Amino acid sequence: MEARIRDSYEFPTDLAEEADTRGALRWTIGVIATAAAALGLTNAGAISGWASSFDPQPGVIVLVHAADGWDEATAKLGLGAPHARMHKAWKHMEQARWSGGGAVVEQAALDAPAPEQGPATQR
Amino acid sequence: MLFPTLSFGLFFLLVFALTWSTTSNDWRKLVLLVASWIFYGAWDWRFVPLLIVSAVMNWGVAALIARDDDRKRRKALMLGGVVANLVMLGFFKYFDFFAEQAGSLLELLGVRQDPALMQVILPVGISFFTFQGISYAVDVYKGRVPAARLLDILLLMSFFPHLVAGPIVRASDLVPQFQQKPQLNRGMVTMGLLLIVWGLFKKAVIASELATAFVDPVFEAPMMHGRIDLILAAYGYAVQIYCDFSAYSDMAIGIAALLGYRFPRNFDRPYRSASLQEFWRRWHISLSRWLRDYLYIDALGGNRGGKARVYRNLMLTMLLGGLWHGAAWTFVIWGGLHGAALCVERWWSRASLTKAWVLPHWAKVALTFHVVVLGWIFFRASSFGDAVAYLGGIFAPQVDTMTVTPLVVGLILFGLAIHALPWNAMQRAAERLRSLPAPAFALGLAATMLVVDAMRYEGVAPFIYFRF
Repeated sequence: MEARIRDSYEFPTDLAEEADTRGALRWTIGVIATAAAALGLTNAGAISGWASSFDPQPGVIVLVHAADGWDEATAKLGLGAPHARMHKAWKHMEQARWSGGGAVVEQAALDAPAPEQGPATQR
Repeated sequence: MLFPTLSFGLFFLLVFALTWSTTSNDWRKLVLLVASWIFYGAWDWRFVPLLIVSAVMNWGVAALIARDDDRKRRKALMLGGVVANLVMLGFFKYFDFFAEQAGSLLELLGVRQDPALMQVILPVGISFFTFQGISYAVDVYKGRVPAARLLDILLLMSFFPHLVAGPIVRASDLVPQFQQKPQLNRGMVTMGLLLIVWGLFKKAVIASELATAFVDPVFEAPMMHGRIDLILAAYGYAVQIYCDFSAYSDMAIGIAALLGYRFPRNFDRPYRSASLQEFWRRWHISLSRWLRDYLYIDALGGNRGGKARVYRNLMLTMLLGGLWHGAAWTFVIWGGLHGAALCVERWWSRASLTKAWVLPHWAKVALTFHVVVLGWIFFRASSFGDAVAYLGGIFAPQVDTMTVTPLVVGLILFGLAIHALPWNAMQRAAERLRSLPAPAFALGLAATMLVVDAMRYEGVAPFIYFRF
């Protein structure tokens, strides 16, 4: 049996030996901004999918155009390829069945372009 | 506005920028308060005033209790506050349920009358913020916490990371944090970001994939599935609800950390429990402690008053805990099952003739897990009849079909295997990662999120606990 069952409140974000707060906010902003930029470049389809999820209104149409343009621009540079490849591989795994000695794949579905969405997409 | 969406991401970035750019702590709290109301209003604006009224009422009751020296009046005020919270919860959550039950009872007695259903809409998170309000009033009455300022109580009850699905953060934990301007440190931020990404993975990949690809179809038509499907769907739901709910808690803790606040742990690998008592120390910890402290001990008397009273208190606590989850008999049965199992465990551990019968640890874990899974079948089923049909299908299946896929089995095994990780595995990882330069950590984080996004199920289903 596990040696200890804790009964006092624990705060998972309290790490050992951390007192220095100097530069932490700047470091955090750097992490969030860099990660957001990297995701914006490699998963632009998510932004496009998110923009198209709103009801069409003048402002939304501008947003959708901009998001689609950004998606196309990053796609031309091949930046969306890793996401698309991983998504395709995941779809293969979803389609795999026990029978038939391996993956039974709906080829038509897999050959279709990968859905463009991301952590961001809401349907 | 669900956590794993771009809308929430943009909302959070704006809130993050505004809160860290304010110089005064009061302005910071005002920004967070308005942001929390906007977040809550994104579901239904009509209930924002309800949230405010609830917070003001609890603040007022606590302020009156703190000012009064008369013991009887203090108690009356506390009880009045508790009753007001329960009336609010009872009306929105249980009115239609009890009206329906009353109608059925009258029909049994030969009186035909249509129940006066009001089709009351359930405000998201009401079960959480009313419990928080009750705990604040009781804590001030018991002298556990001093009465706080209105702004602090408004923010305590409205703070958006925990507002709609917990954890139930008590005043003693959060109000002292609100009273001084928080400071970030790298460890807190690293751990917060890891919890957010881990939560995203558990919710968007494991829980969503299991629900849509397997668990939902099996529970919707159990008679169309064979024994293996039914057993695996029950295990699958156990993994799904853990990954769904613990994901929300992880993300809430992570989001609060990025804003400079600490929330307590809400889950601790519950399926490695060797007893039901241990399970409730690891599952939805903030609720089980709330039920223990305010219902089992404060209201019912806890372990005082003899054996029969202790068993009664255990049963009542779990039955009411079940009802807290939803206005349906399936939840009451789920709570009753846990209460009965806790009573049997207590009796077993104290009966002298059972001392010779000691199960090995692995057998206790397996037994506890299967009792929990049995409870989940009632918890997940739409009705008592559906749950019975589901169990009947396991013992006497009507068909022999098997629809479970290798991926689903893999996800179930993965969801169980993560319970074997050390309790501080993520903290140890965060301790290493916090010393990385910002670009290196950010690129690792972005790459992980990209992988998670590629695996996620299309769209985002609401969290299971939103309806509680």
